[in-house]
Amino acid sequence: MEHSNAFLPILVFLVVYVAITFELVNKAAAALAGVGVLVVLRVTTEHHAVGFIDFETLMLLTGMMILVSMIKKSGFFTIVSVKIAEITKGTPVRILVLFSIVTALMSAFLDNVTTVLIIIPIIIELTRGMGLNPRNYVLSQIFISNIGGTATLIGDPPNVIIGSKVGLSFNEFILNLTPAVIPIFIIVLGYIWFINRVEFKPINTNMSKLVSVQLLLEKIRYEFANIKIDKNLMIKSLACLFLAILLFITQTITGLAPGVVALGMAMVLLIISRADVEHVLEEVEWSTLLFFTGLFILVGVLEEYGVIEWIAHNVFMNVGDNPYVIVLMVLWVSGIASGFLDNIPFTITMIPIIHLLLESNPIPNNILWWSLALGACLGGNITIIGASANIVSVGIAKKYGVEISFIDFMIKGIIVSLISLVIASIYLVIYLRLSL
Amino acid sequence: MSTKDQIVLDSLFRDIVKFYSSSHTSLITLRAIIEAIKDLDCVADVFISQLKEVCAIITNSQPRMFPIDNLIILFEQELEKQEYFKDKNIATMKSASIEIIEKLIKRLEYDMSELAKQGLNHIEDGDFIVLHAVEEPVELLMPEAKKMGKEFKVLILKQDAIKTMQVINIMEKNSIKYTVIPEWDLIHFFDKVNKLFIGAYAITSDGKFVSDSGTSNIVSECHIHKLPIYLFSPILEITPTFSRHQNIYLKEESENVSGLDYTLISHSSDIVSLDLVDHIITDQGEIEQNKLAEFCTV
Repeated sequence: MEHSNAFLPILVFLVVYVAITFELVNKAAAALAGVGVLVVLRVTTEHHAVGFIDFETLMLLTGMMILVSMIKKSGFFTIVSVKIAEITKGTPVRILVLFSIVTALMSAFLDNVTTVLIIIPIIIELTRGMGLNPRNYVLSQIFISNIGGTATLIGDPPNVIIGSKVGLSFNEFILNLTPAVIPIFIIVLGYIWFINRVEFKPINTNMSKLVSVQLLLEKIRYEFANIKIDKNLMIKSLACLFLAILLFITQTITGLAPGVVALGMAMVLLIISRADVEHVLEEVEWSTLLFFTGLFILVGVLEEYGVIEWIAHNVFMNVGDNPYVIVLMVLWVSGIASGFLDNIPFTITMIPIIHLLLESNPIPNNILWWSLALGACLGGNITIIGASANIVSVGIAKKYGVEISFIDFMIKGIIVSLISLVIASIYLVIYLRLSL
Repeated sequence: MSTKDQIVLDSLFRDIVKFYSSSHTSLITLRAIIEAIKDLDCVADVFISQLKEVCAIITNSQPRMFPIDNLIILFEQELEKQEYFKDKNIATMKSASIEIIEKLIKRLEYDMSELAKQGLNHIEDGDFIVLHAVEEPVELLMPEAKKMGKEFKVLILKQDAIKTMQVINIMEKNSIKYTVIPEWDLIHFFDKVNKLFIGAYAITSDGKFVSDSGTSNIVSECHIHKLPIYLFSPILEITPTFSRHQNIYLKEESENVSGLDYTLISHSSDIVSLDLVDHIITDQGEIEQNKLAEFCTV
């Protein structure tokens, strides 16, 4: 690394990182302002900077955002939420388990923020109406959402980035991460039940509570089902999502990259549904996309100036060449760092480092990538700022009068993350042992 | 009786009655009791105490809600007649209780349809009727009159957002022409409208009726402007109790507007004098105010 030359990009990167982590300014504004500074100071040029952007990731995110916003507009999620509420019949354990399953599945195939936006209001309504404290239920859904999102390529932004930049397929993500995610889901759920077991007592011995549940379901049915249901749009948007997932799965046969599939299906849906494109595009999280764009450039410049290589050599490669140590170190460093830093810039920064690690230590079966994915996604549960879904959920909960402080979150989040990372470690060690 | 269970049920009653009439809320509650009986897991002795507890919670609700209040009294009377089940077998006790409640549901459904029939006599072509909340006239009468081909319009007075939206939903669903105005704008419409239709939670023995909050203002204003006021209420809403015993719920909540903190106080329902009402329409036809007590069911 040329220390004198690299000073500016490092400084800009660190300032942007601090601004993002402590939410001093809007994330997208911080990242793009950083790029602006680098261009003005002639560290890079605007034409050169564009080359660092991973358009595959942006296409995948944009496509999924459009698909999800159309499904949401059709009222499908409302129907699902109300049905789940009916099935639970207000039984605390059923609320926990059924909502957790739905949250995990939704997070795996949609983005986590959309999942919590749908699930958190209804779970608060249901539990509060029952005279239960919604706090633990909200926390459980946040944790489960981050765990569920770990299972697929499209479940969590770190996976989207890893998948697109490394070229790992949808199937590879499912086949390699789901075996770790399922036991994590079950054990974390068991832990949540155990620490709150007094609250999860059955209600079928109390007739007043049973009557209240029925009335509450009537209220929820009215409030949530009063949203306009567009059956035509629902069929078309679900068909497009199903087709997109099918094309993700058959990527090795079709050769179509996930970004192309997602954006392609989103365009098909916009055309066949004759939707108001302007209105749909308002639902796309442009600030997130711009945030990604800025970060790709910032990390690209760091990579060009040899900073990433320096970190890889001086931090990660210092631990030696034992593959077990390297895999576990990537997992735990990613996990802990993602808890306190935004996992998106962290993942983008780690990708070139992992590439360098693999050059000197070729660990088979992409285990190092799975290690990064598991760490970056599962570590998001440590603090409120660990993942976007955490911040959004805590915000929604506050709007509904449920206060979750940073410390409250962290006390439970640390244990959930510890359990998750320990299970992930066991999984990776076994996987590595079988691969070597 | 658990205070927490009482608070939970009271709050649900207050929420549900925002978008359904008190008669509809009563039907939902009876069906909820049936489902609860089916799901309840307990021994025979506990079953009776649980049943009594639920009845006590419902009849002590804030606010008291009719017809369910009277129906629960009828239910308890029937249980007493059966000596709280001679056969102490839980399955028999459950099915016997459900049977009584199903009969009460049928009775209420019949009364509601009779109220709609009676009400039809009071809607004529060309009427421009004032409404403000989801009460029996909105739920039962208007859709029925529209089905009969009567041509009328409705003036919806906007108050609570949830209530107003539900009134609009019902009008839309039944293709009834409507105009929405803020409640305080009614003064500009007295030369156009010709009737006010309202409902009640209860008709009390001291010559008053309890109804949705906001009713008192509207009734008073319409009375001053000599607009005919029609109160639609099933006989089962007549209670021998006084208006001061209706457990009107007082809500105090903190609000912050433009940085100013204050406490907002509101009541769950209004108490209005029956003297202001011109016509009391029940499922048994129009009844004079002074003869209401004769029709009291319990």
